[in-house]
Amino acid sequence: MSKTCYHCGSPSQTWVQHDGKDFCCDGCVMVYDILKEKEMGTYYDINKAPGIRKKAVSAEYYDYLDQEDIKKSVLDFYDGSVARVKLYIPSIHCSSCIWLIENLQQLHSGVINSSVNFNRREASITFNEEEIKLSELMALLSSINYKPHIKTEEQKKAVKKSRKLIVKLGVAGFVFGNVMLLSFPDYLSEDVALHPELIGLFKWISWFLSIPVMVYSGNEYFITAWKNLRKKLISIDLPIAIGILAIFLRSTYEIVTSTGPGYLDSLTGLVFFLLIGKWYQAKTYEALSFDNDFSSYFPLGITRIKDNEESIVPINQLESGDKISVRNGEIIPADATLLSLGASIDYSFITGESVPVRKNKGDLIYAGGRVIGNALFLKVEKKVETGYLAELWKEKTDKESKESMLSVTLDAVSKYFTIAILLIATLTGLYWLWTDPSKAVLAFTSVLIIACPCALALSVPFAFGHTSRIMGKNNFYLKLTAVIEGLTKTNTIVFDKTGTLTDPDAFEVEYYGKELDHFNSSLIKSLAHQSRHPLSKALFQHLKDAGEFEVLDFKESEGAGVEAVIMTHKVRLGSASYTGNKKEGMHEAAKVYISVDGNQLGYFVIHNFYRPNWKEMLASVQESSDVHVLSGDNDAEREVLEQELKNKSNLHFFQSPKDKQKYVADLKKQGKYVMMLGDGMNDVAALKEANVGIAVADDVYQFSPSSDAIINASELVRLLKFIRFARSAKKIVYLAISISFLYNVIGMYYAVAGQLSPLFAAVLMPLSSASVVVFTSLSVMLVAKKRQLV
Amino acid sequence: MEIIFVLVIASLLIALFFLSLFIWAVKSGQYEDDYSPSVRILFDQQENKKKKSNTKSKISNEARDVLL
Repeated sequence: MSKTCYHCGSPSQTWVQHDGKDFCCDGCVMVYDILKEKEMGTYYDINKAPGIRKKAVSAEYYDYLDQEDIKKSVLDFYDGSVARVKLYIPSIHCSSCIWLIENLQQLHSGVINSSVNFNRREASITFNEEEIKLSELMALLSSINYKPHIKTEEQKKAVKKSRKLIVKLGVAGFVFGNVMLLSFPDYLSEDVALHPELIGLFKWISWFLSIPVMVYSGNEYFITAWKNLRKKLISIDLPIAIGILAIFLRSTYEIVTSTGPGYLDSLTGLVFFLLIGKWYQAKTYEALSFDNDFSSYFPLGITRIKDNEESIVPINQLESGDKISVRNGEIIPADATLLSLGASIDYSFITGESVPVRKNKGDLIYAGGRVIGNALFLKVEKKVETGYLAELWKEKTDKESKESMLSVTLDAVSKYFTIAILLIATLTGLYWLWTDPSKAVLAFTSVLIIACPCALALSVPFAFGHTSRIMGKNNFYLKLTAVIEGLTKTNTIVFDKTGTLTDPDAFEVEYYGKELDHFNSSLIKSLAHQSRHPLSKALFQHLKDAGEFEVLDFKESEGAGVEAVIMTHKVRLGSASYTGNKKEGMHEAAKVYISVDGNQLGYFVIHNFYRPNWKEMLASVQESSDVHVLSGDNDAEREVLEQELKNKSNLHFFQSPKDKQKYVADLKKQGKYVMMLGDGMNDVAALKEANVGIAVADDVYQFSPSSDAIINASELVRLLKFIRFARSAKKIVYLAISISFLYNVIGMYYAVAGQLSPLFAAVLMPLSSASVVVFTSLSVMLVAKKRQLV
Repeated sequence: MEIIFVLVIASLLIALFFLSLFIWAVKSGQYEDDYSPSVRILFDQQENKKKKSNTKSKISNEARDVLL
C-alpha cells in the first residue's frame, strides 16, 4: 500500500517523519504541530487526512486591513472591541474543516465565535478586536492553510437574491395549495353543487389570495417582459406575462359578474411551477466566483509614503505621483515608475511568461507584476482604474446582453411563438365577433390563457439545469446555462499554453554535461534552495534526492544568476555568460548553467511540464474543431507543440494579453465560433472576447479569472466529452419544446372553439409542465449515464 | 352552514401563520446551508469535554498558585 501524508493525504516521493507519522512536506508538519499544541487532534479523527497542502509559499500581508477605512468596509459589525467579519475561505471542503474553523477560539482566545456556511465556503467570525486584530485573524487562518478572502460585493448581493426567490416560491406555493382547495368544488360534477353563498366566498378568497402571486411572486415576469419590450426584444417572459395577465383579468371578470369560477387555480399553479424552474436554475454554484475583476487580485490597501511617513491607504485612493512601497510577493496595483535601483518582476500573472523580468530605475512597470526580492519603491503614474490592467478589462464586448438571456434558442423560439399566439388569438376573436359576438372575448382570452408557455419556459431550465449540474459534478462549472449552447456551436478552440496545457507548478528537467555526483548535486540543490527564481525552484524539486549544505555569501544577480560559497566551493548557477559557459544552441531562457570554482560542469534544460494526456485531448478536439495555441511565453516549446497541431500556423508565441484578445477577435470576424481556454490574468481579455471563455484552474475554489465557465485542470482531457454532452442536451431541449407545442395545439383546439373549461385548463397546464420536467430530467440523466458522466 | 365560513377562515389563518413561519425561516438564513448543521451537531460533545478539561486544569493551576 502506498503511503499518504497524515495531514493532507497527498502521495509524495519524499517523506518527513514527525511524531511517528508520515508527512509530505514541512508545511503539513507545521499545521499538525499547531493543532497538536492546542489539543485539536480531533481534526484528524473526523476525516482521514483532511488538511490542505500549501501549494506555493507566497508571502501574504494583511496589515492593510487594520487601516480604519478598510476595516470599516470589511467588517459587518464593529463596536470598538467586538467585531464580526464574513470571510470567503475556498479551501473549506469537509466536515473536519468545519470543525476546525468553528473551533478557532481554541487556537486563539481572541476569537469569540465562528460558524461556517459550507455551501458558500464562508466563515462568519466574531472576535475581540483588542485581542486579535483582523490582520492577525487572517494570518492565523492562513497559517493553518485556510487562506481567507474578503468577500466581494457581488457575493454579498447573490445571497439576498436567492433568499428573495425562495420567499417568492413559498408564497406562490402557499397560495396555489389554498386556491386549489377552494376550487375543489368546481372540479366535482354539478350534482354535488355547493351552496351559492359558499361558492361566492371561495371565489373571493381565491381572488384575494392570488393578488400577492400577481404583484409579488410573478412580478419579475412583467418587469423583464417590459424591459425587453423597450429594448425591442421579445423573450419568453412576454408570452408568460400576457398569459398570466389574461388569466387574471378573465378570472376577475368572471368572479365579479358571477359568470364562472375563473382560472385562478391554473394561474397560481402556473406561477408556482415557473418559479420552481427559476429556483432550480438559480441553484448553481454559490461557492464559485465567475466574476472576478482585476481588483480581486489586488490587496485592498497599499503602503504609501508621504513626508517620510508610511501609511497604508486603500488602493482606490492612490493618486498619480504618490510614492508607494511594495514588498516581496505583493502585486503592484497601479502603473508606476521604479524608484529603487533595480527589481525583478514576475509578470506570469499578466503575460504568462514564467521567467521574471529585470527592471531598472526609471522604468515604467505595469500593474499586475509581482515583486520578487527586496521591497521596492515606486511612483504611481496612473490611478488604478485608468491603468493598463483596468484598460484590458474594459475591453468588454457585447456580453452583457447575453447575461440576461436564458438561452439563445429559447429566445428565438419564443419570438415566433409570441407573434403566432397573438395572431391566432386575434383571428379567433375576429371570427367569433362575426359569428357569435358574445363569445369573442372569451375565445380571445382562452387562446392567450392556454398558450401561456409554462412548459416551454420550464424545458430549458430543467434540461440545461440538469446538464450543468452533471457537468459540475465532473468539475466543469458553467456560469450560465446559456453557455451550454455556446459549447454546442464551438468550431474553433484556442488554448493558452502556460498553465493551461502545462502545469504551472511542475517542470521537466534535463541535464547535459559532465555527470553530476551526489556531492555536486547537493551543492546545486543547496544553492537553488536559496533563490526564489522559478528555475531555481524547478532545480530544487528536481534534485530532491541530493543532500543540503550550509550556504555562505549568497548573492543574487538579477536576471543573471546566483552564487554562493558552499563547503568552501564557489558555486554559480545562471546564464551562460554569468557562469563562463559557452552558449549551447537556442532557447537560452530555459537553461541554467553550472560552474563550481570556475569549472563549467554543464547545464540543465528546464521544460514546461505538460498536463497528463494533453496530447490525446488535443487530438480529440481537433477532430471536430480548429485548434489554436497562444503563448505569452518564449518559443522554447515550439517543436513539442508543432508535432501535436494539425495546422502549424495556428501556433503563436510571445503573445501579449492584447495580442491574444485581438487574435480571438479576428477569428470571430472570420465567422468562427470561438472557445478560449486560459488560466491567468493574461488570458482575461481573450476569455472575455471569446464566445465561450473557460478558465482552467488547478483548484476551482481558488480565484480564477472572470469567465463563462471554470474547468478543473484534471478534467481538461474530457473536453470533447463535455461538448458532446452539451450537444445531446440541446437535442433534448428541442424535443421538450416539441412536447410543449403538442400540448399547446391540443389546448388551442378547445380555446379557438370557445370551449375551454377551467377544469380542463387546470389539468392541462400542470400536466404539460410536469411531463416536460420529467421528460427532460430523465433523458438528461440517461444521456449522462451513456456518456459515463454520472 | 355558518360553521364552514368559520372553518375556512380559521384554516386560512393557520396556513398564513405557517407561511409567516416559513418566511421568517428563510430570512433568518435557515435555507442557506444544508450541510454544516448536520455535521455540527456531532461536534458539540467533544468540544464541551475539552472545554471542561481546560477549565479544570486552569482551576487546578490557580489552586496550585494559591497553595504555593
